[in-house]
Amino acid sequence: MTERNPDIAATSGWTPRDIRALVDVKTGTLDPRIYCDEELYRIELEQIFARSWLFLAHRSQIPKAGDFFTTYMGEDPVIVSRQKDGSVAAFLNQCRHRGMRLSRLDHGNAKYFTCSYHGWSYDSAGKLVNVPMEKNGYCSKLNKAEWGAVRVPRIAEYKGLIFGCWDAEAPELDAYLGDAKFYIDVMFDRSDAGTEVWGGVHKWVIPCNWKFAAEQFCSDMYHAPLSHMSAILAVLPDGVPPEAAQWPTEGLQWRSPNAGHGTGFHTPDDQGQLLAAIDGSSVAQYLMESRPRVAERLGNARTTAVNGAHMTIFPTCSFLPGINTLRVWHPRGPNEIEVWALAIVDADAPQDVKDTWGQGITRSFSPAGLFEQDDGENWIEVQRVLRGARARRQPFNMQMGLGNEKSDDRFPGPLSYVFSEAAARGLYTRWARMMAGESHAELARPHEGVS
Amino acid sequence: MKQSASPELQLDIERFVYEEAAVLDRHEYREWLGLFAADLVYQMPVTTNYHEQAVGAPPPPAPQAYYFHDDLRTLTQRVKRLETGKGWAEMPPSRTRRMLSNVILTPADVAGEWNVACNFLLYRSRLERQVDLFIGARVDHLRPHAGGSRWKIARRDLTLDQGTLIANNLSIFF
Repeated sequence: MTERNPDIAATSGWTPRDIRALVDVKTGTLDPRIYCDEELYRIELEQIFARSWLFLAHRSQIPKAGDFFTTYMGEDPVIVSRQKDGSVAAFLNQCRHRGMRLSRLDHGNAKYFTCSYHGWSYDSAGKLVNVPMEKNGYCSKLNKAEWGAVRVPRIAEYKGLIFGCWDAEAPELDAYLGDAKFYIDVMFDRSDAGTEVWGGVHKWVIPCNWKFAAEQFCSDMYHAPLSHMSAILAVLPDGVPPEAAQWPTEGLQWRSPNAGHGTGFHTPDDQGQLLAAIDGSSVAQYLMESRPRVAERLGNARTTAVNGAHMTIFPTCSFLPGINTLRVWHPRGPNEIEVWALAIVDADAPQDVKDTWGQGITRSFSPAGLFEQDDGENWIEVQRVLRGARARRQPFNMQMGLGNEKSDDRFPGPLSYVFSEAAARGLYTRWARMMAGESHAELARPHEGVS
Repeated sequence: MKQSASPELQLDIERFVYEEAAVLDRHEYREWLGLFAADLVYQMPVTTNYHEQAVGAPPPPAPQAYYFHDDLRTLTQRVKRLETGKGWAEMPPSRTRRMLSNVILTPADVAGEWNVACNFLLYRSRLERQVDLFIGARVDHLRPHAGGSRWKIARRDLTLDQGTLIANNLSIFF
C-alpha cells in the first residue's frame, strides 16, 4: 500500500488504518466524524479534491475565444478560459506576485487578466505578459516565463462537461468515468447538438458537509417520497387524484465498481404527468416527441426505462436527468458548502421549450425551488446535531440493500434495487481509499467487499 | 418631472404596502395571493458580478437566471406546497419581519396605475438559531381595484443585494 501524501502523514493524527475504519461496508455502517472533523476536511482537500477530476464548467458557458468563467476546485479559485484555438485552459485565480485574486468577476470575455493590486497582467492561458516597472523596478531581470499563473495540468471534456484535475497520475477522464458515461448520456447526449446552459448560475450556501449532498444525488432515491412530497402535491394540477402523487416503487441503482459514481432511476415509463407538472407541459411534449430519435441514438432502455434519475460523478458533480439541473457542491470547510447550480436544456430544442424548461428547473431546483428547499433543511440539521460529542460517536446506518446486488441485461452493473445504499457504500469506499492514500493504479481496482 | 403622487395617494399606497407585509408576516398566504392580478409577473433575478458594472456604464444586460420567475399559477403552487404541512423548509414556519421603506411612486403608462418602488429588509429567524437577512429593492406595478384591497399587484420586480446567496434557501416570499 502506498503511503499517503507525506505532508499529511506528518501533520495528521489520522492513520490510513483509522481512516479506512470510518467506513465499514461489510456491516453497512458509517462513522459520522467523516462529516465534521476539521482534520479530515484538511486531508480531503489534498487527497480528494487535488486528485480527482472536478467539474469546472459547461462548454456553452464559454463559447467564444476569450470567454472565461471563474469557479473553484475544492477551495481553490480557478479561471476557466476559452483559447483562440478552441481549447480550454484553466489556471489558479491568483497572482504570482502577492497572491491577489486575478479576476473578481463571475464570467466575461478578456484578452488579459490584470491584477488590481500591482498590475501584473496575464493572458487568457495564464501566461505572464506584462509587469509594471519591469525595466526600472525589476531591472529587466524578472523571468516572466517562470511566473505565469499556475495552470491546471489536466483538462478534459465529456459531452459538454469540462473537467479539470491537478493530479498528473490520475487516469484519463474517459477511464475515470467508465460506465458512468452510459448514464451521463441520458441527459447530455440526446442529439449531436448536445446541451447548453439556460440562464446563469445559482450560487448559495448551505451549512452542511459536501458529502451529504454528493451522496444523496449518488444513491438516495429513498428520501424523495418523504422529503419532497409537499412539492409533488403542489405541482400536480387540480383534479389529479392524490394517488398520482404515489412515488413509484420499481427501479434500479447503479454504482461505479471503483470510482464512487452512482445513479438511480425508476424503470416504469409512467412519470409523464409529474414531469409535465415540473418541467412544463410543452417540455414534456417535446421530450415525448423527441423519443424516437433519442432512442435511435441511446437505445430503448435509456429512452423509456430511465425516469426520475439522480446521479453523482465523484466527488461533487451531480445532476438530475429529466429535471435537468446540474450542480457542483463546493466544499467550504467540514460544515459548509456552496451550491453552484445550472439549468441544462437541449441545445437544439425550440427557444420557447428551452425557456419553459429553464424556468421549470429554476422553480423546482434552485434556492427557491419547490423541491430543493427541503433538501437543505435535512442536511443542515444533521450537521448541527453532529456538534454533540455523543451524537458524533453514533454510527450511521448504511445497510439498505446490503448484499442484494443484481444484474440487468439492459444496463451496465453493478446494479441494485432503486431504493438501496449500494451506491453510497461505493462512494464512501472510494472516499476512504483516496483518503488513505491509495495510488491511482490501486484505485483503478474494484472495491473489495462492497455489495 | 413626471406627474407626482398626491400626499393622499402616497399615504394610501404606503398603507397598502405595509398591510401586505403584515399579511405575509402572519403567514396568511391565501389572502396574500388575492392581492395579485391574474396576469401577474413576479421575478427575482440572480445578481452577478461582471465588468460593465463600473460606475457610469450602460445598464446591465437582461438577467440570465432567476430565483423567482413566477406567474400567479406557480406562485399559487408555492402556497399549496406550504399548505400540505409537509414542506419541511417552512414546517414549522420561519418567523419573518418585513421592513419596507423609501416608497417612491411614479405613474405607469396606463393612467391611474402606478409603479411603486421601495426597499425591503426581510428578517428571518428559523428553528433554534438560524437567522437570515435579505435586503434589496422592489418595484411593483399597481392597478386600482374596486374590491377590498383597493389595489392589485400586476408585476413585481425584485432585486436581492447579494452575489452568492448567503442563505440555505428562499422558502419565504418577498
